Amino acid sequence: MPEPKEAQQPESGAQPPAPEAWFFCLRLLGGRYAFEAPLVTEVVRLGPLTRLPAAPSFLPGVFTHRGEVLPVLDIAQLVGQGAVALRPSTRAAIVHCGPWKVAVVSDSVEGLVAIPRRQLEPPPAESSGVAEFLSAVARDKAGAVAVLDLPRLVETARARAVPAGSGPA
Amino acid sequence: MTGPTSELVLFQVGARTFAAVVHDAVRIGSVRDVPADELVLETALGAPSARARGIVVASHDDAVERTLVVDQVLGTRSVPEEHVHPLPAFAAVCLTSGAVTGFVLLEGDPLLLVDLPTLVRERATEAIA
Amino acid sequence: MSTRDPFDLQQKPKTRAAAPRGAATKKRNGAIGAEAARIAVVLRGIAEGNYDGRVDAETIEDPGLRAIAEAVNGAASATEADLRQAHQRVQIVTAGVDEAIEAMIRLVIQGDLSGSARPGSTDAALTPLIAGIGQVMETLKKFVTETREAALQLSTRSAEVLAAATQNESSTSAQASAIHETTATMEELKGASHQIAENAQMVAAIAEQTLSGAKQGEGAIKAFMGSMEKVRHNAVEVDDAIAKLSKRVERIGTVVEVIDEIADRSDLLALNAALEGAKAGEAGRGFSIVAAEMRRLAENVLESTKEIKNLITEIREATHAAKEASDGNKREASEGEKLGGNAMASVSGILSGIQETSDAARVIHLATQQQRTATEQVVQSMSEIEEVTRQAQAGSKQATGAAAELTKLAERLAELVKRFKVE
Repeated sequence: MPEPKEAQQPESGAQPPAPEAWFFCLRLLGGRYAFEAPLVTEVVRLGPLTRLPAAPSFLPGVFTHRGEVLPVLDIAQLVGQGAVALRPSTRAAIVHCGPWKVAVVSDSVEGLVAIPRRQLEPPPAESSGVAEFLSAVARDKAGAVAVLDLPRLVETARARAVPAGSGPA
Repeated sequence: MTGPTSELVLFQVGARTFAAVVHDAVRIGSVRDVPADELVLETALGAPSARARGIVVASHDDAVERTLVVDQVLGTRSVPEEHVHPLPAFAAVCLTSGAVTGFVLLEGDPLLLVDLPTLVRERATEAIA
Repeated sequence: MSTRDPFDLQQKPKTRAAAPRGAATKKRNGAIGAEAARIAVVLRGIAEGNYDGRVDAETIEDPGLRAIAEAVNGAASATEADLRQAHQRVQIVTAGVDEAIEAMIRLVIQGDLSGSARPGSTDAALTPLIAGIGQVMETLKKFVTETREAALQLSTRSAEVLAAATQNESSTSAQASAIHETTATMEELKGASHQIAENAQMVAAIAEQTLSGAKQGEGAIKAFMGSMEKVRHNAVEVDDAIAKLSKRVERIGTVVEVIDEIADRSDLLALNAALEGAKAGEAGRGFSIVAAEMRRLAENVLESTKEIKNLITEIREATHAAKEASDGNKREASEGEKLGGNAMASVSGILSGIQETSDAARVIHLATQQQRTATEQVVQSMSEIEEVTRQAQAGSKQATGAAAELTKLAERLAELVKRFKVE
């Protein structure tokens, strides 16, 4: 998996994990959300979208980047809280989550932030909307930030799109 | 033309243009003489505005050949294989239809590559269900 | 004056136009042709002045023709109503003019001023005439009454004068002033008769004007009817041209349909040829090129036929509009001719009435002229009397002679006035 450009690599073996974790932060749903930085391979401008027939609402379409066709994931549509406005200037973060490669769109991209692990706190108990996908919450100089469990989010999305018993396997 | 190519037939349903491999199209005909139960009008691609042309779709399993009704058949195109892409994996698992199998990059615009037999079969099973 | 009835509208029972057997019409297309012929029969009857015909619209199948039939029925009924109205109007006008003329005859021939013109029941156009005549009669009545009174006075006065003349000279000054008074009265009467003459003059003038106006109207109506005739003639020619054009357009339409069908089939063939060529891969390349060419040709043909079909639709619409306009013109021309004819008859009636009014007015004028002459003569005589009486102040012999003359004059005046009945 390609490494983010500014990640701090731990030195060989016996050392404890670094006190800080790197996250990729973006603005979405009126707040700051972040996920593990190693998931992100590239940040790109969203090109013209091609809609797909029979697609769920969180998959507004696909676009071509350097000859590769990438699906777009709109987290706001997934949690039923509106939709990200898709303009040519919209930034998309290309992420790898297990077997899936998707381009996550947001209102704006902040970039890499480092958060000390001890400052990560459990998320609030509500399990509706985007809260069900949070793995932690934290604060940094810029304010509160909610950490998403992106692989779980993507798997859940896929499961919701094709309910068991219909559509292709 | 060097290198392997895909022979595609281009057609329009509503405002969108789609592509399919020529071998899935047995024949292009008019809609008039086809019995109604062999016509496929509404599919995952939408519904045509006019019943202008019918693409008789090859059926690899059943004996019945169904006719997909489209607005226009634009013609055939020979496309280099490097311009034909499959659907990205995530998109493929999220679509509720198996009819779209990939993309054709034709003069910049990506056209959806449609599996015609799957398209009409989905419609048929829906109709029965 | 005799009552003239330019057209005699008797109430006949309404007849239905029977379907014509074997009637030859230009466009005969089965049932529609027959129905159209029935309508044409009624229309022709209307054109000839027979307004009784109606089409039995319920038995007409074609909705378009049925609408026309109902319209024809409506037009015939409306025209008939209009005719009746016009007839009534003419009668009223005629009656009013009759009355006025009779009054004037009485006035002139018999000197009977006891009647009066009734303004209420006459036509608006004749009201000034009737009013003028009324004025004339009133003024005349006044004149006659005053004249009679004056004659009475004169008689009285002349008797006094005579008495005075044969008696005493000292009363001549009293006589003189009495005569002076009478002269003054006669002057007034002279003025009154002048007024009457002027009024009669005015009536004559009005009658003249009305006459010339009516004559102009007659000319205009004649011209109008001439143009209506032309319009009707042209409309028939237009109809023919439209029918021919429609037939040709329909033929073109059929041919275009066939071409369209062929072009569509060719397009289909070309598509399938391209499909097979593609399936054959490299071997089918040349075949595919030929097929693509064929498709282009077929598309061109389809484009052209689309244009032609649009043109045909436009021509059909224009033809339909022209036919409707032509039908409308024919209807209006027929109606116009009818109404023109009615107007002509009315105007002729009015013209003769006015002619007689004019004559009567002239007669009055002459009569009043005569009155004026008579009055002037009287006044003249009075002046003479005055003169004579003044002279009588000088000598009684002359006074006696003058008084005798005075008596004679008074008798003459009484004679003149006797001709007029006022009560």
